[in-house]
Amino acid sequence: MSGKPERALTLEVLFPDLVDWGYVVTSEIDFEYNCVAWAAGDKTQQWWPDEHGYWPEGVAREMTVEAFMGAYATLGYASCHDDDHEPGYEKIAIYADDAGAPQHAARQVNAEHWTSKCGDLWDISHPLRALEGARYGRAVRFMKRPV
Amino acid sequence: MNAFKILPISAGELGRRIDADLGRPSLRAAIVSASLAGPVAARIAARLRKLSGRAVAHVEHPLEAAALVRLVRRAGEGLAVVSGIDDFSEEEWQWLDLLRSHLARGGSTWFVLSPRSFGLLERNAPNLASWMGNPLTLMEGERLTREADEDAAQAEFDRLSHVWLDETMFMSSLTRKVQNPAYQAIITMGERAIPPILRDLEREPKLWGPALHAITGAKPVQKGDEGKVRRVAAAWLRWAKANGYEW
Repeated sequence: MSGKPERALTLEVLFPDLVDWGYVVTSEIDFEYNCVAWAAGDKTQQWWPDEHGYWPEGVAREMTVEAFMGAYATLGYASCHDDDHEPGYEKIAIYADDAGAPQHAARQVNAEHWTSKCGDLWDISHPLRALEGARYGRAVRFMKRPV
Repeated sequence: MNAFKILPISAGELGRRIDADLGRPSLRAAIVSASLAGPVAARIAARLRKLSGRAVAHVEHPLEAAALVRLVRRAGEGLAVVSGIDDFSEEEWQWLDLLRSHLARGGSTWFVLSPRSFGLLERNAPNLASWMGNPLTLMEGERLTREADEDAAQAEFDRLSHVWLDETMFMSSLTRKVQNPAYQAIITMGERAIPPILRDLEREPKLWGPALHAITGAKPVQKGDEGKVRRVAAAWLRWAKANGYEW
């Protein structure tokens, strides 16, 4: 795939709130990593706690928010209360559906924006809530680590 | 009473005959075993379609002579392939002989017949048979069938993989991607899915490891490489070469 669009109509169909909240496409399409990896700053592999994905050694391979927090804890992240921007800290958010199953993760960029890899599609910069909805659920847990 | 010299030809020669007939009115008969008639007809139709860039009517299992003629004529000046007429009675063949002038149109019409059907054609539709000239019989029917099946498998894979990508492209969950019905349907294709998967893996690595494992039971991916898309693809391609797969 080549060519990074300024906007991606596919994403706007999948996540209609992006149109009102605003977003910027920041990469080309890349199949090599997924959102969980991208939130962890890893563009080399797909993180997922089943037998098909990379998962940090010693962390439970299960589809729970706790397992995802355990994975990010291996990178120095610790649980925090909210998504407020705190200078000197880098935050991540874990999105989960109504059943509590993790569906997405994003990394904070600044006070207004987070960065996400949307499945197999592009990386985007977006407000945290813009990806909430039927596909990714809601941002339910936050973690932070010193920059 | 066989007045015709049946010409045994290879699949390649058949292709050249199709090419030579293209663009001029012709009626041809190819004789293959009854079980191969459908796949061979599909193969001929695909070749005609590719060469001419035009629509090709594949008339399969017409109920009667009049229906056959109607469906072929619907192709206008175009191209038609007829198969599946083993159930035609002697009377239907006689009707087809009477209606033969309606089959002589601007394009090529290929009849793919079993030996039994050709016998009925000779006996009951001698005028139509004479218009067809010497029938061709395929020495490489099995190869053609295999190629036709490979074409069909590729088309099925293309359709399913597009659905899969459409429905899962926003997902990060590898589990949900693999559970997707279109992905599972690719697994259900079994061995037929392997060459199309390998071609796609070579072109642009995607999450095909779980499907290949489900179909073959093999585990060529090194421990620790899970999630590394390019390494997983390379491991499967190496495995496929070592195990004699061609794609």
